[in-house]
Amino acid sequence: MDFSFTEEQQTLRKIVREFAEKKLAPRVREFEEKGMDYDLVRELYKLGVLGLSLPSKYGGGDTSFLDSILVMEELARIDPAFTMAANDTWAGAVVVNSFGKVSQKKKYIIPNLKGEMFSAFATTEAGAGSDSFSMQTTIVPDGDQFVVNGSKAWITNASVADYYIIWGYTDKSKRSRGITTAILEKGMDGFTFGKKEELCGFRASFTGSLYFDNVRIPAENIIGNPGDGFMHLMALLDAGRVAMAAMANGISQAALETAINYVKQREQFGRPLADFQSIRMTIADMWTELEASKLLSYKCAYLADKNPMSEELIRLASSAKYYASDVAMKIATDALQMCGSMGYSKEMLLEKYFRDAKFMAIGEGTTQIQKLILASRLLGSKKVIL
Amino acid sequence: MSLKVIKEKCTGCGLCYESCPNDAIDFDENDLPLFNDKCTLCKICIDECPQGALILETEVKSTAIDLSDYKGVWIFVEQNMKIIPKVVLELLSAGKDLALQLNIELAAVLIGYEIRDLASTLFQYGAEKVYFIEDQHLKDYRTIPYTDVLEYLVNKYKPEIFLFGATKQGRDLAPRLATRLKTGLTADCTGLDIEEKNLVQTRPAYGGNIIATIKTQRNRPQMATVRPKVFKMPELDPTKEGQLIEEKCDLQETDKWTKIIDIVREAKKTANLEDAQIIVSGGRGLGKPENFKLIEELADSLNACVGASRVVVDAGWIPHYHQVGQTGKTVQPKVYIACGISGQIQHLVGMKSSDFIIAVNKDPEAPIFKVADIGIVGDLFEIIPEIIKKLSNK
Amino acid sequence: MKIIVCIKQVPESTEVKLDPKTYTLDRSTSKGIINPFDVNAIEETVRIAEKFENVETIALSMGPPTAEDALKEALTYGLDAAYFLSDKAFAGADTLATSYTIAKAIEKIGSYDLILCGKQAIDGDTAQVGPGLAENLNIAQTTNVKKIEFLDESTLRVESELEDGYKIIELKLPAVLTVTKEINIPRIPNFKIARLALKKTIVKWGIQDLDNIDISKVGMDGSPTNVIKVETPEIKKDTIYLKGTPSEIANELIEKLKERHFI
Repeated sequence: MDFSFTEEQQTLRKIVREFAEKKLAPRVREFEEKGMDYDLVRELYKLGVLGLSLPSKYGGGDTSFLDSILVMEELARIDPAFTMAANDTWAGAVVVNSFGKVSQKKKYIIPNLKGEMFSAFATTEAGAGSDSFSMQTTIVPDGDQFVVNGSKAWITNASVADYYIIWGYTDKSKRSRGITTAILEKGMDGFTFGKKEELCGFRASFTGSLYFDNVRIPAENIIGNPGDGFMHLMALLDAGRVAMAAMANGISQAALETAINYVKQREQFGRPLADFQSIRMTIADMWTELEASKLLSYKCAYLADKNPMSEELIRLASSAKYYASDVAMKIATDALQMCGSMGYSKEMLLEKYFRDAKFMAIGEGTTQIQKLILASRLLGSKKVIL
Repeated sequence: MSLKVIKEKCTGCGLCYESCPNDAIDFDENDLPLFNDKCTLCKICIDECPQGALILETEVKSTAIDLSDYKGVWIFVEQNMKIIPKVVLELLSAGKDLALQLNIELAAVLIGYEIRDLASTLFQYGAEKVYFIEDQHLKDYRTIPYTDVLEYLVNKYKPEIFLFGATKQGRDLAPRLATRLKTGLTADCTGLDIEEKNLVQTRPAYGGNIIATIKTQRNRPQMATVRPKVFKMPELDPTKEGQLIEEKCDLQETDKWTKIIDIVREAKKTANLEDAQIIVSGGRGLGKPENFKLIEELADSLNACVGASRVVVDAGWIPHYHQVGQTGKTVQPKVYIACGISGQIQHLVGMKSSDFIIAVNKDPEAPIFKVADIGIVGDLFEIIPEIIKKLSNK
Repeated sequence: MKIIVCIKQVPESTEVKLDPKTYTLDRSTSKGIINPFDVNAIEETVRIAEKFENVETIALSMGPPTAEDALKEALTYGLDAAYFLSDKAFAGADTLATSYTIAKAIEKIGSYDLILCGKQAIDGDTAQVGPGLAENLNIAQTTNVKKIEFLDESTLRVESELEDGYKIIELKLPAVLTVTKEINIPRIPNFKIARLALKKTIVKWGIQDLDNIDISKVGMDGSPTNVIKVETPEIKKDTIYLKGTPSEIANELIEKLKERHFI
C-alpha cells in the first residue's frame, strides 16, 4: 500500500496550484458577481491539466483518475464553482470515451481537449432530481433521425457548452432499459436555454435549463444503442461522486487554512485566539476530518482505475461524496464562526466557502440518496427505492 | 585543501582505506592513515569514518599577499555626461571617515572623456588625490574597457579600499573588476567602519531581513558597492585643492566591448520608486483596478510616486515597475502610505526601511500595522478622498 | 545555438533561520524555490528556443543536495538538459568562488553562445555572480537586461535598465546577460512538457568532475569575503492609531505630516 503521490502527481499539483493562485484567485469575487471567464478554462486545457484520464490519442494524458482528482482539489481550494464548470466541460468527453464509437470520439473528444469545444452533462429535470427515472424528456426514433422533446434543469455550462450529453426515454414501458443517451449541439433547431439561475453559492458558473422542442438529431448522435442510457449512467455516476468529494475537500482545505491563519494573528483578551482551548479542539477536529475525507476520495480514485465496476467502489464513492460534503459544511461553518464578524463579512472569503459548501450535499446526488444507496448495498437489497 | 586525521580520535579500524575508491590511503606504523596524491577529495572516507576522525583542512596560503603594500582609500567617480550621482559624493564623505581612521589619504578615481574639470569639484568635496585617465574609448561607460583601466590603476597604485556607488553602473563594473583582481567585493553596503586596520562592511541580505557584517581579510583591495542615501553629503570647501595624478592607457576595442546604440531617458513620473521621497501604494483592498485612480490622485496631491503590492500587479491592475517588495523594488522613501495592503512579509521587506509608514486598512490584524508609524483602521474609500480633499484645500 | 541558464535555489520566504555558528542559512527549515529572477531567465531561454531553430537549452546550478529540486523544476519549463554542481568542497562559497566554480562547469559543457542569469538572488542580493561569470569566461556582459533581440545569430541588441530609463546596447556572442523581472512574465509550466521533463536525468558534477580546477579557489577557501556576524534587525514600532470620522482622521494625518516636514 503506497500512500505517496508520484513525482508526476506532485508536479501536477504544483502547476495547478500556481495557476489557481496566480490566475484564478484574484478574480474569485469578480466571477461571483459577473460570471466566470471561460477563457481561463481554455488556459487550463493548454496547460494540459484537464482531461488527463482520457486517452492520449485524443489529447488526454492516459493518467490515473487520481490525477484528475488532485486537479479538482487544487482548483476547488480557490473556486469550486469554476472547478465544477471546468470539470463539466470535459465530462461529456468522458461519456463519449466510455461508450461512444471512434467517429464520435474523434468528433468530440479531440476538439474538447484542445479547449475548442466544451461539454455539459444533463440528467436532472425540474420534476426529476433524486428521482431520475421520472424524467420526462423523450428521445424517439423517426426514420433515420431521433426527435427530442422535453427539458433539463440545473445544468452547469448551459448555453456555454457546445455539446450536451442528455438522457431521455425512448421507450417508457421498458423502464430503466428504455433510457437513451444522446448528444445535442448548441444551435440545433428547437434547442434553447433558460436564464442563468440565481444561486446561493456556486454563482460563477452558468447554471440553467435546457429546452428541447422537437429537436431532430441524426442517429450518429446516439451513444451506444437506444436503451443503454441507464447502464451508462450507473457506470459514470461513481466518478462524478468522487469528483464532488474532491471539490468539497478543496473547499474544506481553503476554509481550514483561512481559519488557522486568522486565529494565529487575531488577538482578544491579550492573546491570540489560537491560544484558547475551544479553538484548539475545533482545529484538531477539522484537520482530522479533512484528512479522513481526503483519504476516502483518494482510495475511490484508486479503485476507479483498478476495479471500476466493483461493489467496493460503489459503496465508497457514495460514502466519500456525502462525507466530504458534511465535512465541508462543518469546516466552513466552524471556520466562519472562529473569524467572527470578519468571517461573516465579504472582506474574507469564508462566507463564500460557507455558501459554496452547502451545495456539495445537494449536487451529483444528495446526501440522502448517497446514504440510501450505501445502506441498500450494506443491507443486502439491490433496490434503492423501497 | 587536504585530508587530515585527528590522531586522538582514530582507532586504526581501516574503514577509510576499505572505502577509498582511489587507492589513496596507506597507513603508517601506528595504523594512522596517510593520504597520497591519488586523493580526489571525494570525501567518502570522511563519511565512512565512525569516529569522525577525518577532516578536510585548509592549507595556509603561502602565496598570501603582503597587505601592508596596499594603502589608500579610493572612491570610483561614476559620471554620465559630467553629472556625478549623489552617491559618489556621499562616498567621499564616508571615505573621508575611513581614511582618517586609517591615517591614510582619500583619493578619487576619475576616468572618461573630456571630464577633466570635474577633478576640482572632487578636491572641493574632500578628495586629496584624483587619479585621472582621459581617453575617447572611455567616453561612454562600458564594462570591459573600464575594468581594464581600473585594473591597471589598482595594480600600479595598490589602494587598500576601493568603493563604488551601488548604482546600476557600479554593480555592473565592481564585480567584474573584483573578479579580475581576485579580491573580495561586498554588495550594497549600508555601513562601513575600520577595525584593526580592516574594513568592516555591513549590508542587508534576505531582502533586508538580516544584516550581515563582512570582512575581506586576506585580499586587497577591499572592494564594496555602497547603497545611495545612507551616508551624508560631504562639506564643499571651494578653497580645497589636491593632487591630480594623470595616467595614460592604451586601449584597443575588441568584439567583447559592447556598443551603446542609444540612451533613453524616461520621465520621472513613470515611477522611479527607488528615488522617490513619498510613495503611495495600493493593494488588494482597493477591490478593482479602476480604484487605482484613488491612489494616483493621492500621489498627485502629495507629489508622490505610485507603488503597488505584488497581488495587484499579478492580477494585472498596474504594471510591474510599480511593484514594491521582494520581487519588486526595495524603497526607502521618507513617507510610505500603504492603502489596502495587508503587509505580507514579501511586501514588507521592500518598504519597511521607509522613514515614516502610514497604513490604511480595514483589518485591524493586518500585519502592515506592525511596521506602521501611523495606523488608520477604516474604509480607505472614505478616508483617502478626505485626505485628497483636505490637501487640495491647503 | 547553445544557451546556458544559471539558476539558484533560494528559500521561499526570506524570513529564515540562520545557523548561529557559521552564519550560513539553515536550509533544513526552509522550503526552496527557484530564485524568481532566474525564472525570468528560464522563461526567456525557452522563448528564444521556441523562436529559433536548433537551440539547445541547459540549466545549471550549484548548491547543496536539496538544490537539485530547483533544476527538476527548471526542466519542467521545457529546457533540454540540466547540470548540477554539488560537492561539500563548494560549500561556503562567496560570489568570487561561486563564479569561478560555475564558470569551470560552463567551460566543461562547452560551445556555449549565451549565458543567462537572473540579475540577483533574493537571499544574497549581491547581483555579483553574473559579471563574475563573464570575467572568468572572458566574454562580454550586460546586466539589468529587460529586452533581448537577435540581430543575427551572433549579434544581440538588448535594453539595459538605468536608474531613469534604459540603454540600448549591441553586443556579440558569446556573452553573459543578467535579466530583470521586466523582461517577461514567466509561463506556468505545461503539464505535458513537465511530465516528459521528469523523466530526464540531471547530470551531477562534483569537484573531481571539473577539469583544471584549482581547489584553493572553490568553497570557503576560495572566498575572500567572510561573514563575521549576522543579525536580525527588530523593527518595533509604537503605532499611533488615528481615530474618528474620516474628516477628523484626514486632518490629523495632514497635521502629523506637516509636523515632520514631509509636506
